[in-house]
Amino acid sequence: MQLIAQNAWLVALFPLLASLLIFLAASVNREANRLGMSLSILGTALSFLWSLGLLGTRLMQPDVVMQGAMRWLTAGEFDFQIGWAVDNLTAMMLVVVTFISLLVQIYSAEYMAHDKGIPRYYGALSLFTFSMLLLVLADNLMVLYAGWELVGVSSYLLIGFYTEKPAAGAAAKKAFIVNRVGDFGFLIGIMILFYMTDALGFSAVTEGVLAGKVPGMTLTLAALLLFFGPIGKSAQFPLHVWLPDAMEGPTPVSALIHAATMVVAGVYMVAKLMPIFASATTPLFGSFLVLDFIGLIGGITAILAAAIAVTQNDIKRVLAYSTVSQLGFMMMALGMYQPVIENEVLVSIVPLGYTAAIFHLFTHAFFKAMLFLCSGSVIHAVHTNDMQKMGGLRQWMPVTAITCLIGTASISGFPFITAGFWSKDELLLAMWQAGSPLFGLAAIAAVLTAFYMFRLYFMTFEGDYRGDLPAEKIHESGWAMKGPLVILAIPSIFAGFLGTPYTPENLHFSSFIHYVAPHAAGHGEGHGAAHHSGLDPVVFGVSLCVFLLGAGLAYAMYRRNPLLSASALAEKLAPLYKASLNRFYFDELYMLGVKWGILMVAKLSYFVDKFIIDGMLVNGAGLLTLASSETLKYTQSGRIQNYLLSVVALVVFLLLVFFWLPFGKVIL
Amino acid sequence: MNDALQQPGLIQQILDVSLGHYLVAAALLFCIGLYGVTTSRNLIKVLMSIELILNAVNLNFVAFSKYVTPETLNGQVAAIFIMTIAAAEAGVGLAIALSIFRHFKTVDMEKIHLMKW
Repeated sequence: MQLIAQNAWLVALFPLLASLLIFLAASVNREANRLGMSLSILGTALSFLWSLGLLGTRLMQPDVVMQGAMRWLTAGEFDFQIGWAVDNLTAMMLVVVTFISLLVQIYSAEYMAHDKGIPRYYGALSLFTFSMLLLVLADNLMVLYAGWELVGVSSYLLIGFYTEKPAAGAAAKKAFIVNRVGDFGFLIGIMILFYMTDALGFSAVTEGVLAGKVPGMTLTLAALLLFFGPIGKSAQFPLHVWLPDAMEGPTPVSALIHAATMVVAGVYMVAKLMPIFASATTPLFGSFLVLDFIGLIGGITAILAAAIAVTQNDIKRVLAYSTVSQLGFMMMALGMYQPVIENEVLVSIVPLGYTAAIFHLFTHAFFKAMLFLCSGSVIHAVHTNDMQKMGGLRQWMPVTAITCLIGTASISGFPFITAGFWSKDELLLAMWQAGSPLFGLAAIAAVLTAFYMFRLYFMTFEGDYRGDLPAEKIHESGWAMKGPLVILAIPSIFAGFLGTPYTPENLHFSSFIHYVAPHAAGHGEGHGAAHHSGLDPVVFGVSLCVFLLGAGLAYAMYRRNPLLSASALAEKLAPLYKASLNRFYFDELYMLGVKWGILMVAKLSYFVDKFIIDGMLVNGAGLLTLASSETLKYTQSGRIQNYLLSVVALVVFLLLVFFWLPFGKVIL
Repeated sequence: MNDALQQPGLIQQILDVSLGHYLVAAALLFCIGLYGVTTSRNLIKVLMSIELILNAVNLNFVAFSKYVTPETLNGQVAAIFIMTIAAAEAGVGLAIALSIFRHFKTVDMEKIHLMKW
């Protein structure tokens, strides 16, 4: 136990080593498929076991301090350390990340078997796992940022894995560039905090903030800028456009990146830095705090993405928008708080949705990864992403169908027995307690969630087969693919029981992960409120209704003999339907912005560079030199007597000046 | 003329050469040399004119030596030094002239302008 706890950084080291070895092997032999695969799976498996050990240690010995640091550079007074630290949140994330990563890699062994460049795939996958673990293990802002960017790079590599597909390259670029937009704000936020507090470590920065080193408005701005990072990475409105396009990557990658790891980095980061966000009590305007902003962005994202998901026909796109929407839910919950007001002054903030958001992250990771892997299994079988060409697949692919149904039930919030029901209930409860108007928004988004997920299930697995591929060619996937599905189905159901109102206090999720209010140095112990609220009948009722409404509507519209015609409804709501089908024209809007904004700037700077810098300054200087030398060269007659004469003439002239002009002596 | 001769001091004045006279003579000599250098077409003539310029300088040295510091011989020494150098310079100059003549078959300064643009 001691050994594991003191060397937690090894968790990140295994995948890094695996990745380096794989790339090395691939440079020798491009076809080192088996070696690459085994190294990658081995590295991740070791990490997973190590993470389990860490989680066990945290559970059994909560007082053990797990952290370490390595000096990287010292500049004057400042000492920069690469440090890691494991708290409960980190331990849980480590397990989730390595668990999903391991399953995805096993699944990929079959899914990618016929692809070229398998070592490259596994190398990038290991690199991705390493980056994510580095991000999670980091105990200071700079290391977090390094992991954050590494995640971006490796996701770029993975999304663009099919190098022969132009769309994949474009999607990879888009993901990278859109993320960069958010990251610049994140980096500026880090710089502001560093400048003000002279520290980068989470605890040191928090202490500095609590000690009042950062003026109120600056802190608010810094927190706002920090949140730009999650907007990009967690695909929040308005930077959500990259995630659905990232579906061009291999499906297991989508499961890994868009379910359990990369996209939840933003949620994790906001949770990790919650003390800083919660300290930003100076409102942006009116009484609008940064946390309100986070909640609002989350709310808009949740409803918007859900509204898009209901009309998409590409199975992976539905799942992608569903992910965006669920991330919106988590952000919304993170933005819920209880203000503590003394003498009509806001003194502090108690986050309400912290546990709920992390709990939803936890359960969502399992069922969303499973749903993506199911879609991979389906795509593998019918060779298309289009749900209109599926249908009735359950008869050929029973395992996939059943796991997919479990995932669908879970994400839609099937009452009582699924993980998603309990975590969504917690989310809604947090919003209800905060008395936020976003509660209504969340409820509508939840209805839509249930609707589009059951729509996906019915269109894919029920009804009649509508595809072009001969039905006899469709077959269930092998065990390397079915295995992870079945394994993931278990936590998709049971993970939720950690967080029900009936769970015993000491086993409850919130007793393990909850917001610990930071305390200024020397102000006594921090108190972590593991608030574990009972059942709220209103919220509970809403949760139930939401599921029944959404799932019922989907059943009515997409069963074999629809009670409600989907196309008739689409016609009735034509403008809305078209807008949703076209993803509310966000891409077009951005392209317009790019065309009219960036291209104009580019053209202007091109003009300035071409004609003013190059034309007038650079070429002008050359031309002037040329002209003057062309003129003056005629003085070089080559006759020495002429030169001598000019010397004499000059001397005579100077003498005349010297003797005749009254001020000549002054000049010379 | 007689009156002039009889005037006391006139001959004396003429014979009584002062520093100024030497300087004027030297300046004239210098200008003649300069004129020769700048106008002669013949390379040998140019060299000879340079000698004139050097001699003008020499004259100045000697004159200053006589009138300004009669007790020392600094000026004379410089003059002898310059003469030595002039001899060497003439040697080198004539050698160059000879070389130019062999190459161009002429010593006309107008026709020697290799360094023209």
